[in-house]
Amino acid sequence: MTRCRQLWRRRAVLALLFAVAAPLAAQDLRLPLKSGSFRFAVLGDTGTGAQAQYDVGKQMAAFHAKFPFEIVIMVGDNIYGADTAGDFQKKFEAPNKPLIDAGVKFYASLGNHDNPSQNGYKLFNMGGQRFYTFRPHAGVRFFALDSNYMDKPQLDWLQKELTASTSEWKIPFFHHPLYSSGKTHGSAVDLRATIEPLFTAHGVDVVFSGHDHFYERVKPQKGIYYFVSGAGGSLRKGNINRGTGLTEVGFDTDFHFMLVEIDGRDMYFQAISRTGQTIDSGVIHQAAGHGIATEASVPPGEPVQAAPVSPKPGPQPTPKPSPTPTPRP
Amino acid sequence: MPSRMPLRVGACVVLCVALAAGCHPRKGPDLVPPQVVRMDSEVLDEFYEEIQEYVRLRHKVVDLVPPLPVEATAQQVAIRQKALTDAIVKYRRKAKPGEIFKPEVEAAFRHVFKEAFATPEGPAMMQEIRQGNPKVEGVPKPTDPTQEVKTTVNLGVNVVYPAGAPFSSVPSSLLLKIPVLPPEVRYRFVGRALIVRDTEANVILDFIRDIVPDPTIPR
Repeated sequence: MTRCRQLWRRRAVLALLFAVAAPLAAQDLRLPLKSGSFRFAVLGDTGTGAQAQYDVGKQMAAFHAKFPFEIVIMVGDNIYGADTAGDFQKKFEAPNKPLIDAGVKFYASLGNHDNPSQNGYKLFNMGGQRFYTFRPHAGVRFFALDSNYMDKPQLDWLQKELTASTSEWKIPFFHHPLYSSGKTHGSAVDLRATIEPLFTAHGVDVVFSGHDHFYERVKPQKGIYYFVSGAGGSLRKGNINRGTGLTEVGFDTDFHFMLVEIDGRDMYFQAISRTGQTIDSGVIHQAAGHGIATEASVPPGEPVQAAPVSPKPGPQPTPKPSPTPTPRP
Repeated sequence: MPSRMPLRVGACVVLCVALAAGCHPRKGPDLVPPQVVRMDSEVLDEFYEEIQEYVRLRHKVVDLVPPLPVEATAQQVAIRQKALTDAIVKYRRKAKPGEIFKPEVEAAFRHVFKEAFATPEGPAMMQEIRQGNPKVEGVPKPTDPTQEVKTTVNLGVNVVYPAGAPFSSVPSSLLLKIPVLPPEVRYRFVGRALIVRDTEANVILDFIRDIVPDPTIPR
């Protein structure tokens, strides 16, 4: 096991090339918009129905016009408080109406504020399951987990699915972060002890979570990049504990969302505030040694096969300078 | 009750639950920790019997409420949930505390929890029990989502878990030490109490008070 992991780590070199800190202009798209790339957005802790959630929704729609992402993954706390039909309207459908109307599909995972019955709501695309997997693009497979309740059946399922997947990018997303500098919550240490070994053994490179109401790009942990994206509609100002040593980039003064673009073995990301300012951006380069993108068949009902995205006409942003790649430990 | 206390010499039952994975060929080693429930087999049977009885009742009730389409609207989800909740509450109106967590079952759970919290992993478990615990966490205010307000959850059998209240995490390593529940029901924590709750109907079926020895969590 250990040997296998070491071999895998040796083969995998992951580089993180991030933007040089600089004054950032609003509406500044940093992603390369490469032809045939796969694009998605990340949204967390959204469902308050507050004005800020609507602001974020508006900003996402504006970016969608120039960066046409196909799906949004939701890392939980999708509907806070009551969850009547009116609440779904006010706390999800209305703030995201432009994207829903544009055919963008949302894939939810359950947070600690989410009624498990959300898994039957069609716009969350959970297929009636509390944990599920889907492959929206060749070589990219997502694993939506229920981190509130990581029991044996879910763990066995996750291991089976990770083992079976040959996608280059295996991307788990769930609510509770395995690593976080949140003063209120912080790292889910017990959960980490159970699922991190599965991630490291099966070539996971990137994990998205929420729960702590801010943005944090965590320094790579055992070769995996962890993003906390938990301020899509709720916020804890000043909640990042800068003394944890975990934070690569943190932002806890306003709401935000993320955009991601996968092109081959490169994953570009950009975190954007509700005012349209870029708060973080960069690219994760995945070296050879992971699964090969030859998943020919997938279990019925689970995958969502989307058409490749065509590049959006318009100015191509200049990719950020590339500092020395960071080898995967 | 003391004479039937579980966890005496020779009363160790190991459950290897392979609900989802048993039949699938695997590549590589099994990295999922085993399910090890240290409870007397009679006590376990008693607990499962009560859970299964509830599940049977639930299946009868489910037949009476409108089915949910695979891709439901928010309204359909809400209507079905309300109908199910009302039906469960009605059918279990005579339910009393201790019907699922009978005294000997409760004692077994308390013993398992006590041992679990005494391990080096205990503090991390308790930290996660705080996550989403309605006695600890509130809900962001729609008018100011930087502030939170708590929702009261009344601890009682056949009591509806409030729609606005958050759900606690149940630590994974703890779940691996207690009986696996069918998908219709789930463990949660309310303050220091362990509850069993109907997943969809949102009803508390039974509870054990003060099973979490963390004085920083309100009762």
